[in-house]
Amino acid sequence: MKLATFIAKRLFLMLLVLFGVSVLVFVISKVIPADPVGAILGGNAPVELVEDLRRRLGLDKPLINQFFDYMSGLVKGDLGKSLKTNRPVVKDIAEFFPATLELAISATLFSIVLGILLGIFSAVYRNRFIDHFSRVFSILGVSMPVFWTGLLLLLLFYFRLGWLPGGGRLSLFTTPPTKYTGLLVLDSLLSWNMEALKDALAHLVLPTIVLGYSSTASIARITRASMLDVLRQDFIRTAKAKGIGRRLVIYRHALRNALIPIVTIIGLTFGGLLEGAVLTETIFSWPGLGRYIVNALLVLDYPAIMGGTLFVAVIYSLVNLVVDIIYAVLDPRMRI
Amino acid sequence: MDSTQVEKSTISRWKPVIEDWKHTFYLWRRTKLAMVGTFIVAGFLLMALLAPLLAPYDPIKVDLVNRLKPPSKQFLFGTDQFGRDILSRVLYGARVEVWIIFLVTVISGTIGTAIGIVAGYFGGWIDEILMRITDIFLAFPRLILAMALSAVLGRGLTNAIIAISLVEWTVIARLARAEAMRVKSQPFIEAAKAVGASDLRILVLHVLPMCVSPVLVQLTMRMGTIILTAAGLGFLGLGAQPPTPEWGAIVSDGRSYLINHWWISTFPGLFIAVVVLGFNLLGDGIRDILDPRLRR
Amino acid sequence: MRKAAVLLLATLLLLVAFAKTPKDTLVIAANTEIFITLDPAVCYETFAAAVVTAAYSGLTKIEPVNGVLTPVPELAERWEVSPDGTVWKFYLRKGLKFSNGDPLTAEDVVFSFRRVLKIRKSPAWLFEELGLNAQNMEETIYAENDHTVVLKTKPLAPNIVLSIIAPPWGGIVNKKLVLANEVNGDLGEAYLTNKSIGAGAGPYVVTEWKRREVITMEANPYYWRGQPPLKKIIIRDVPEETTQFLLVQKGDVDVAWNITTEQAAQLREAKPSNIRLVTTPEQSNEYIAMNVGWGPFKDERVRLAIKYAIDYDAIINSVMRGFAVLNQNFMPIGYFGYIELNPFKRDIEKAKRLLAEAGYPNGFEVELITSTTEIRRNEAVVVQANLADIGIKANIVLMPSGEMYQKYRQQGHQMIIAGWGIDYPDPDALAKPFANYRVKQLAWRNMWYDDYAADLAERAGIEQDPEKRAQLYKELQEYWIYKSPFVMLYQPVGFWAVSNDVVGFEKACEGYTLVFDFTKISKK
Repeated sequence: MKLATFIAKRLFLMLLVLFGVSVLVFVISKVIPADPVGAILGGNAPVELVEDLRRRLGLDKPLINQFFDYMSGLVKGDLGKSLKTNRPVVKDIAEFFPATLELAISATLFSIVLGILLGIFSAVYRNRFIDHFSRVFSILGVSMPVFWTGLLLLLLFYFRLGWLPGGGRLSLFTTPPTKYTGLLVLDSLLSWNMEALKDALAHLVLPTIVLGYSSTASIARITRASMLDVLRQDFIRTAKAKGIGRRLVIYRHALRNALIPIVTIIGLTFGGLLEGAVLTETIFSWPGLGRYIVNALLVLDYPAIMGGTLFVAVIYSLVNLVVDIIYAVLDPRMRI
Repeated sequence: MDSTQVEKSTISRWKPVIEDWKHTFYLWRRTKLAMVGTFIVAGFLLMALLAPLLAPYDPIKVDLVNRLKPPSKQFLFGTDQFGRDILSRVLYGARVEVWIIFLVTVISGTIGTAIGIVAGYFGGWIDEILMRITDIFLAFPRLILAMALSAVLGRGLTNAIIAISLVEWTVIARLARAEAMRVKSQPFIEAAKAVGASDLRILVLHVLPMCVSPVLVQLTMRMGTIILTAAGLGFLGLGAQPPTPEWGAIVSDGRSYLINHWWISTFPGLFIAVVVLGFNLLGDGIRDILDPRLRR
Repeated sequence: MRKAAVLLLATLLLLVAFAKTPKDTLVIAANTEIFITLDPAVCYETFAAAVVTAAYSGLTKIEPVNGVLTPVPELAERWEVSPDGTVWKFYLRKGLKFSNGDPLTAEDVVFSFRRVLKIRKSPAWLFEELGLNAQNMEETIYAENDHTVVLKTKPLAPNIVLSIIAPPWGGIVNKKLVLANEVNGDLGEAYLTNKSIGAGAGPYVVTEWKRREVITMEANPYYWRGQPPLKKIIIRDVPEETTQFLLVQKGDVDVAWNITTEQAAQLREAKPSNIRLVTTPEQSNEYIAMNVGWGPFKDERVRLAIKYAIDYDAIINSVMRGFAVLNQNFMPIGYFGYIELNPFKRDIEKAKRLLAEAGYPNGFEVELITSTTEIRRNEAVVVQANLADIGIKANIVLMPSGEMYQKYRQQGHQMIIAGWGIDYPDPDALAKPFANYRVKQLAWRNMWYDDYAADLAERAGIEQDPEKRAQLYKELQEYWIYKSPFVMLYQPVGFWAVSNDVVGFEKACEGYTLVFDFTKISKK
C-alpha cells in the first residue's frame, strides 16, 4: 500500500491505543486503595479535615463525572494539578522530562556505539574468542540489575575514589546555563558556559554507562545477526569476486543493509530506556521524569501518576510509530 | 478422514518434532554459551531446592549481637543490620525467586496463550480487539506498569507476582497468536473442521500443542527479564515485605549502609546478575539454535 | 595525552577551589522531596515549617526558656486576656515592616488568620481547636485598630492559645501583596507556594525554590530585631543520605540534615577535625498502637502483654543507635506536668502469662503496618521478632504514608507503628490525641473510647490554675500508661552533621521539631 495510507492507518491505530491507555491509567489511579488527600495533610490531621479537603478537591464525585472531567481535560492538554506540588502536572512534566531525555539520548548513543562495535566484532570473528567474549559482555549488561550496577559504580567512583560526582545534574556552585532546551549539555554549548558543560558531562558519565550498558545486548545481537545475514548474500560474494577489499565490503555493503533492523532496535531501545531510567534516576538523584513518577506512586499523587504515565506511554507510542514509518520507508515490503 | 485418523495424524505430526529435538540437543551441546547458561540455571534451581540444607543460619532470626559483621569464616557474606547472615538470606532468596518465576510463568503463560490462540485462530474483529488491548498494555514501560499495578493491588509478594504477570502476558499473547495463525492454515486443521470438530476442540487439541514449545522457549528467554522486574519492584519496596529475603529487597536494605558495609547490597545483586546471565545465555543459545540462518 | 592530563588537573583544581563554602552563607544538604509548599497556611512538614518560620514571623515565637519551650512576644509586644480565658487582645509593636517595606498592621494579622481557616488545609485544625473557624471568624478574629488584634477563643489554658498562634501557621502574611497576586480566588496559595518575597516579616526571605534542586533564603533588611548574622541560606536538595554525609565531610556543604543513625553513630565515635555531630531531643515520639476494636486487642491483658514483650533497649540501641530517649509516657520529657513513668521492661514470662490469662496461650496472628522509611522498617522487624517470642505471628506490611494514614483514620488497622509530631508546646497537644477519643484523633483511631481518660484530658485543657492542672495530668498519665492501647517506644533525638566552621547550631536546633532558629547561627 502507499506510504501515505500506511502512515495514516498507523496514526489512527496509535490514537486508538492512546485512548485505551488513558482509560487504563484512569482506572488504575482510581482503583489505588489509598488516599492522596491524607498524604497531603499528614498524619496528624483529623478525619473531618481530610473529608472536607476531599470534597473540595472534587474527589468524592461519582467516577463517571471524574472520568469526563479527566478526558475533557486531556483533550485540552490539561493533565490536572499535582496534589503534592500544587502545580499543573504539565508544568511538572515540562520541568522534569528534559533531564530524562538528556539521559536517554546519552545512554542510547553510548549503547549504539558499544553495541554496534561489539556486534561487528562478533559477526566478523564469528565463533572465535572475540565473538564469545563480546556476546557474554553484552549479555552481562542486560543481566545486571541497573540499580545494583549503579550502586557499585557509585561506591567505587564517587565514595572511594572521588573521581566522579555522586548524583544530580550539576554541582552546587556551578552556575547553570541559560535554559533554552532543558538539556544541560546543549544549553551549556548554546550559552558558551564551559564550566557548566564540563560539570554536566561529568554528572552524565555514570548514569549513562549504567543505563546504556543495559541496552547494549539487543543492539549487539541485531548487528551481529544482520551482519552475518548480509555477509552471506550474493552481492557480497560478487563484490568480493570483483576484488574489492574485505574491509570495504563489510563497511559499505554489509553495514548499510544491516541498518534496517538496527534502526528498529534503536527505536525500541530508546523507549525501553525510559523504563531503566526509573531506577537509574533513583540511584543517581537525577531529577527526571522516572523519579517523578516513582515519587508520585510512592505518595499516591494520582494526577501526577496519571499524567506522568500517560506522557511516557505517548512518547513510547510515538517512538514506535516513527520506527515503523522509517522501517516502511526503508523496506516497502513492510507496509502492510 | 475420520476422527481417529485425524488424532493419529496429530501424533504422527509429533514425530518430526521429536527428531528435531534430537538435532537440537546436538546443537546445544556444541554451543558453549548455551551450556554455560544451562549449568548456571541448574545451579540456581539446585540452590533453591537445597537452601534449608545449605544455609548455615536462619535467614529471618534477629541476632543483634552480630549486626553488620563483614564477610568472615563465620559469616561468609557478612551480616546485615539485624545480624542476619547474608549467605543464608541469599540462599533462601533463591527460593523466593523460583517461586516468583514459576507463578509468573504459569499465570502469564496461561493468560497469554489463551488470548493469543483465540486471537490468531478466529481472526477478524476478535483479533483486532484483543490486539488493541495487548497494544495498550505494551504502550507502558514494563516497570512503570508493574509499579502502578502494585500500587493498585497493594504491596506484597503475591501482588507483585500478579502485577508482573499482567505485564508479561502480552509478549506471550503475541507469540501464541503468530503460532495460531500459522497453524490455522494447515491442511489437517481444515480436515478436522470438515469432520465437524468444534472450534474449542480444535483449539485445545490441535492448535494449543503446536504453541506449547515456542511459548515455553519464549518464557525461558523472558525469565531473565522477569527476575529483573521482580528485583526492581523489590528494590523499590513494592515486592516482598520484610522479613522475606527477596534479592532485590536485600539490595535495597543495604543501600544506607553501602559505604562501610558494602556486602549487604553486593552479594544479592551479584546473584541476580549471575542467574539472569544464565537465563539470558540459555535464551540466546536457544535463539541461535532455532534460527534457521545460523543452523548448520 | 599530556593535554588531557593538564585538562584533568585543571578541572580537579577548579573543583577543589569551590570546595569551601562562602563565609556569610550557610549551605545545607537536605532531602526536600517531601516539601509540598512554603505557604504558612498550608505547610506542615517539619523542616519546611522551619523554613516558613524563618520567613514569616507571628504574634508570638516559641523559644526555649530554661529548657522549656515557651511562647514569647514577637510581633506582639504584649497581650491581655480576660479572666475566663476567652477574650484576647494583642498589641503589635510600632513600625513593623514586611520584607519589601510595606507596613505590617493588625489588618494583616486578621487576614492571615482568617486565611488559614478559609484555605482549610492541615494547619486549620489547630486553629479550630481554639474555637475559631471559617464560619465565626468575622466575630472571633478582628482588628480593634491598626495595632490591636482581638481573638475570641474557647475557654482554654492560656499557654495553649499562645503556642498555637505562633508560626509556621501563625505566620503573618502581607495582605496587600497576597491579594494582588491572587489567582482564581486562591488567596495567594499558588503565589506563596515557593517564595516569600515581600510577603513575610521574618528574619529571612525565601527568594527562590527550584523543586528538587535548591531553596534560597536571604536576610530580611527590614526584620525588626535587625539583620541576622547569616546573609544567605542555601538548601540543596540531596535525597541520598550517604551523599549528604560525603558532601559535608568534603566541605562542600556546611550541614547534612538527614544523615542516618549509622552515620551519626560513626560521627559520634570518630570525631573528625572538620565536622561534628549536633544532637537535641526532638519534639515527637514513636509508638506502637493496637486497635482496641480488633479481636484479641479488645482484652486489656493482651495489650499489657505486648507492652511487656517489646525489647525497648534493642530498639533504642540497635535501631536508633542510641539516638532516642526511653519515654513510655505520652508526655514529653520536661513538659509542664510531666512525671517519669517507665514501668515496662521486657519480660517474656509475664507477657506469656498475661496472654494465657486472656485466653490466647498459643498466641495469634496479626497484621503490623508501618511506613516505608528505613527506621520504621527496622523497628517493625524487631517488633515482629519480639512478638514471635511470645507466640504472636506478626505479618509486616509496609505502606506509603498516605495509604497508611488512610487505613489508620478509617480504624482499619490491627497494629501500627507510627509517630506523633508535637504541634504546640503544651501538654494538651499530647493529652488530647492520646487520651481523648472525642476529638477523633489517635485515641479514636484506635477505638479507645475511654471516658475517664477523655474527661481528664478535657478538664486539664481548660484548667486555669497551674497546680490543679498539673494534678490532673498526673492522674491522666498514671491511668493511661497501663490502660491505653499505646506502647510508647521512645522520644527521638535529632542529629545533624555540622561543619566546625558553623557556630551556634546547638542553640538553633533546640526545640526541633517544633522550632528551628536560623538567626542563632553564624560562621567563623
